[in-house]
Amino acid sequence: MILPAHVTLLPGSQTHMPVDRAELADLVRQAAEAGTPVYPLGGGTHWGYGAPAARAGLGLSTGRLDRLIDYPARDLTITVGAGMRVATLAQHLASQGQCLPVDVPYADQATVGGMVATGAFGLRSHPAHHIRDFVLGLQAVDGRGTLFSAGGRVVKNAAGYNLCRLLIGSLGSLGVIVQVTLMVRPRPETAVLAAWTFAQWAAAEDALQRLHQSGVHPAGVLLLAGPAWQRLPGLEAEAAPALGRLVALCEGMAGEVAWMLDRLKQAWSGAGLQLEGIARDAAAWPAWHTFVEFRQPADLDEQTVIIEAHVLPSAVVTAVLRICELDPQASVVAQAHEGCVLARVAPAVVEPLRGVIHAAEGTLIVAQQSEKANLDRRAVWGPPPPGFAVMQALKDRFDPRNILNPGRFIFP
Amino acid sequence: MVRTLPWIRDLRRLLGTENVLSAPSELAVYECDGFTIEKNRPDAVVFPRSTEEVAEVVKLCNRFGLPIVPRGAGTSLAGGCLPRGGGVVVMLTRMKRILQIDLRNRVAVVEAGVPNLELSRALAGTGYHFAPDPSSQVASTLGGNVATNAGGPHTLKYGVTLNHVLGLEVVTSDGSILRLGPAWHPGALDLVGVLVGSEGTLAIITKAWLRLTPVPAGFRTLRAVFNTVEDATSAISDIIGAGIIPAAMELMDQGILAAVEEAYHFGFPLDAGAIVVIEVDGPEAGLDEQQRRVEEHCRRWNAREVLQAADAAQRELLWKCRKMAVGAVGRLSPSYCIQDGVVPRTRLPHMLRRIAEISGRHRVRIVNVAHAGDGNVHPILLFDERDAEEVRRVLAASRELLQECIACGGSVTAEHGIGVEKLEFMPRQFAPEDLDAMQRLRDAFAHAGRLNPGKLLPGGEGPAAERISPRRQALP
Repeated sequence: MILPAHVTLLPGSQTHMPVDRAELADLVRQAAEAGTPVYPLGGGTHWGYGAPAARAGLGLSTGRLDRLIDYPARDLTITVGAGMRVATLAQHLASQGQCLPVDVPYADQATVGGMVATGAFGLRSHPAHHIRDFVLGLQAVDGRGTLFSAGGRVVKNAAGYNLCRLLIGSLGSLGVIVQVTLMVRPRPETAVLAAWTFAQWAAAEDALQRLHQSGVHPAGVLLLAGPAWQRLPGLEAEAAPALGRLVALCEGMAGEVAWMLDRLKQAWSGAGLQLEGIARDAAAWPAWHTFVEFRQPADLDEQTVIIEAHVLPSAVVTAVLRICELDPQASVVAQAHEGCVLARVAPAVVEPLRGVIHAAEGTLIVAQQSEKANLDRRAVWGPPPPGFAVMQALKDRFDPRNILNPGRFIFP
Repeated sequence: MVRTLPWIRDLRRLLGTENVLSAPSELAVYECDGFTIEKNRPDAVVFPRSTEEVAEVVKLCNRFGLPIVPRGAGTSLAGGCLPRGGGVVVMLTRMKRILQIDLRNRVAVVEAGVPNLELSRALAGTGYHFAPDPSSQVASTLGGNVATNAGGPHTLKYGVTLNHVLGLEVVTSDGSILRLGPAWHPGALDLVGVLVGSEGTLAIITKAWLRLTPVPAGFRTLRAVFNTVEDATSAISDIIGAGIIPAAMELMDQGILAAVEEAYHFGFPLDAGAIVVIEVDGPEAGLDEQQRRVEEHCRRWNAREVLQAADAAQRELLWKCRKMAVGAVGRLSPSYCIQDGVVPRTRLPHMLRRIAEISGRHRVRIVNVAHAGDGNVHPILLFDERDAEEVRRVLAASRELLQECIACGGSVTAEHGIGVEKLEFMPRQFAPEDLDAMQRLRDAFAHAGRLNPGKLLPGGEGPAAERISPRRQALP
């Protein structure tokens, strides 16, 4: 089946699953000549990211570009076809004791190309969390059907312009990504995930400040609030009524992890937080992954969208508080250390929230919506960002016929 | 009396006479940077003090059709600041305020002309630092670091400058001011990521929001002494392969050790084939274990000894030796040329063998320092620039070294940039379609004016000046 679950194209659309890069480039070239919109498809898990496709066109699946191309494990780099599933990538890496520390939901369906095109950033913060910090090189087919390469396969490279950064997160609007080279990391030896509850927002901010001064650098720190987190899955914990929770994932060698947990317990009990539960070793990562899956619940309807806001770390608690005020039914996962806030909210509060976030010099987009919600480009992405004229000039040069994901990203 | 050109008069009116240089004697300093093979005198040098002044300068230059060359401290080793075709050099060095240090949000806001080390000094004692620490950090500016995506010894664990830039304020080719970031915007193209390392060809960087990194709770700084370079590079490859990411792994071969020892009297054994400085960092709780594993790998590759820096002073001296190693080379030879190339880490033993072979075949003495953990080699070619025949051999050896980096699947520059020096290698490393994509990127930004023309991408640079000498200055 070419069309992934979750994806529906408008009537009159076609789908293709080219066998190689050359065929994919040919199809894009033909589409450019005919002016047919091209919708690049990976696993379809982010079909609800961006504005809905407004025109019939060609669904172009990277499903057959799923080969492992080169894995010199001792170089800590890997090159794969864009259609490789993220879970398959993880298996290859795990076989060599390595990993890519960027979490994505539905890893068994999501593809590496989709991860790059949507700018996946996971929920970790230390040492890096965004896919942009791990892409060393890529190949893509631009809107004229020309295949080009960017970057390389080495970890440090100052030759030429960084076309990788141009394409990462551009939602296939400048090129269809067909191959990716990633920098990977050694898999941490062990992990511990622990959750604390807090009864006042001020206590949460106090705890985050104490963390900041504690010398502990967890792999991830989450602030949770809302009905979705009445019970924490995977944790041996009693449901406790609480305003919200802080969750920390610590990774490393056993001694380091134990030390981090000790320091955290001290710092956060000092802030008045209650330790709620701990998941250790092999249990820690699955527990963490339940928060990752929050970004994309399968049960979104017209009443709920997921927003993604980026604010200064010091503004996270206030942002979460305002979200909960504006929509008492909202559920929130905030990556407290990096200042990224994900929330399930009613579509009606998106604009008021955007005002709040913009006033704090942050940014806000709708990160996931169901087809029923049907928010348009402006509602999803907000007003044109600074530098939009340059971005449009880039779009015009990489996709002159405007056939790549037309209307789905920020371009008209 | 000499009649003042109208555009000089306008620049003076805009910035004040004292901030515009136009006398030939004053301009000589600006005819090149650390890359001294090609020289060309600019028509004027200006010292704006604000982003708004930079914007006005750009507009003025556009009106008169003058090329613009942004410049920081001029430590580039690739000719990024060379005023090819003359024009106006825009010095950012008077924009040197640290505007904000916000520890809670781990960000520093700086003007482009702040020297890298100034920021480190300002952060001393706060528990935070700016991780990129290029060897030029005493002089090189943060704006220049951003424009060239500077590296340094600690990129192995902490990444290059690109990984530490959250936002930028820039003046674009038409003289408009653009503020990008510091908040990440998923509904935007990553212009910040594109501007970092664009060598002043897309916009002039005037201000940056830089990510601050916590100073690790502890360090262990080791020096492992090997009998051969081969053993040293194999040990490095094994350490990474075993899943250990030290903060730094820096190699110095026998040739350079002699010079370093003479300059700094550290006490390095002069009969060693290579020394690797290895630093592990993190919470105290994990350091002994990390150190033990690193030592084990070194011993497996016949390390004669692995010594730990006894105290902070010794650690500092060890790092000084490494960072100033290139400067010490002046003791070995009247002239030298430091190259910059990168290969996949596991190809490092091969690459160093090839360097030795190329050295022998071209009869050019080559000594090596390397950010070995990154596969980033810095072969230093020694010669006498008065000997034209030797100079030709040095240039040939240099080309062959870089060609070998490409053949190994690497790149002709890891951290110095393309500038003008490596233009000829761009078509060898990249296919025409790749270069065309880069050209389209440049056209989208630089639709107006002439920002740093003749750099980074081949074509449009005009006839190359005859390259008479590969000499490059040492860092200060």
